[in-house]
Amino acid sequence: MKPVVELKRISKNFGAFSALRGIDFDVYPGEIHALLGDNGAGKSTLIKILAGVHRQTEGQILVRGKPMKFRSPRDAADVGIGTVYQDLALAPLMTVARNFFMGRELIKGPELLGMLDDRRMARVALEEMAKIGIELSDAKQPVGTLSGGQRQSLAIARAIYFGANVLILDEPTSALGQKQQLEVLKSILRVRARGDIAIIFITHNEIHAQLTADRYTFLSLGEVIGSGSKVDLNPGEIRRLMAGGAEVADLDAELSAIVAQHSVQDAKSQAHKRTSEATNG
Amino acid sequence: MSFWRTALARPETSVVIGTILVVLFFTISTGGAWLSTLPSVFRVTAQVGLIAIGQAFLMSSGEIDLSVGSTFAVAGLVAIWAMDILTLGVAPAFLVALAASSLIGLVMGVFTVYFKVPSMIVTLGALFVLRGIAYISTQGFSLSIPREFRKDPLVLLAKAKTFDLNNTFIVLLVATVILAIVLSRTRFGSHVLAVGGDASAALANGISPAATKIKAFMVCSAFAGLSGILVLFQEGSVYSTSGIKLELEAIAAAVIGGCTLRGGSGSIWGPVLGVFVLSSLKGGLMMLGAPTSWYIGLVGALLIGFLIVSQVISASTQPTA
Repeated sequence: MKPVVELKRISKNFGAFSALRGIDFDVYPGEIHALLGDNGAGKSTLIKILAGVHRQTEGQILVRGKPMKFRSPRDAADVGIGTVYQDLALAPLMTVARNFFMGRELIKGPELLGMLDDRRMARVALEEMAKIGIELSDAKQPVGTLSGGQRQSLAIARAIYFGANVLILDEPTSALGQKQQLEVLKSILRVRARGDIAIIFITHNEIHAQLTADRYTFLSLGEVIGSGSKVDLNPGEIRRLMAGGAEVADLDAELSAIVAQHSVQDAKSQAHKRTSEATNG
Repeated sequence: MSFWRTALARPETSVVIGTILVVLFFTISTGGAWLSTLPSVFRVTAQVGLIAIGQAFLMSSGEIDLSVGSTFAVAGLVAIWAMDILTLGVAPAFLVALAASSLIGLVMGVFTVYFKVPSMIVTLGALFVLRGIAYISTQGFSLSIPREFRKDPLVLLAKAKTFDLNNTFIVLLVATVILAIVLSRTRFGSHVLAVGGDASAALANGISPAATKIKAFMVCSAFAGLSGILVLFQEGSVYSTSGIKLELEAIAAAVIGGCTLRGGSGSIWGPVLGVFVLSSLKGGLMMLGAPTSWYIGLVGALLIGFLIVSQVISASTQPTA
């Protein structure tokens, strides 16, 4: 099987600052490839190049083996790369169905009049969301009444329905409560189970990556510092790479040093408080 | 239960309640005499209502037009100019004036969208500029329809009544139905609400907020112009002061009728009821013997009252926002 998307030696400079340096990355249909790294590692720049928002300074993007030049997000969407950004691109006051079909409304009757086929849009929206495990009874409820997880799933279902076979999920579980995160992870796994969609899962939550991903790529300061499949990497290694390659033991030591210092200070100030209270009283 | 939930969640709920209260109050307190003033209330409602529905449409896209009162006057002047100087017939003059009004909307829309000046400022500027044009072209007084056109069938039609209702009021009813369908049932309306709700979300889904907002500006100005032309046909003249403060009444009615300055949601028929409530007050107060000078203060009090009521209602029906 060939990767549906392949990035070769991608570099990106913003003026003198190089955000990405020679990144290799690929993803196959039916797999979840987690892209991990701390803030500023270059994850967003990389997906923006894939989504056609930025252009790479060097390197090549291959889609199904063919080299591509994305001039706009439209170009990327046309070859089936769908991006679900953190803000989800939903209008909270509008209904679920209207949001699902925002900008691609279904029309009945003469095209010129543009009369919306609300019934068909409602049916399709509910069906598509049910496919990834979100059962809603009413497509007419405003998106504002949905939970964060349901909104995320709505955006994912929408991207798939409109032809995404490469799904880029930008931190889909951040800013959600524990239960909602689980709901979104389940949706992602249901998309994976279809087998025809390649998922790029951007996150800085290693637990979420371990729960879902087949492969991992770790970025730090614009470079790939590690990659591998579920079998290749043990949890300790994943945590080390998540921290940008620093030894977790070192971090532990640093942290406990701070904690120790703090408790000494605490003890001192407590003692000080007691003495001043005593003198005042 | 679900019916009541839905009914309460509608933006028009408070204005419907308000309308019923106003009708009951004036009917009972005047012993039914107030009902005989309804035709003149409808006449005023038609004039302000046409402006208010355009305003409501624009507000749904998240913008506002303060210049509608001036556009109202300029549209009438353009119609007179087209008849008088261009020696066009009444119908072509009507269309020229309507096109000129839309052009005003187009220009304001372009300024708002491309130069990123808030619409409140752009249209405030337009309010003064257009009023200035009205002062200059009327030389501070008024202009009238040229004599030879005063008996034109179209002019007479605008003055006439059907089933004891002013034809302009019937125009308002038809326009309200059409615009309400456009906003709630068509692609354009859906784009207006999407852009008003979250412009960046709309853009990410391939809707151009710029084009959508400019079109909404044009709709708003066209309706203000339509009102101005119809009133010109009814009254025969445009004064340098025609339409002053109409923008405030139209915006007040739109807000009372369920529109918000934030955009993203809105109503077309709610604002018509809003205009009706405001228009009823004027005549109703007079019949009760209250000085008409009370009217303007009461409008302000009502506006705030309605907003509080609808806030309370929406807070009680929307668990999460």
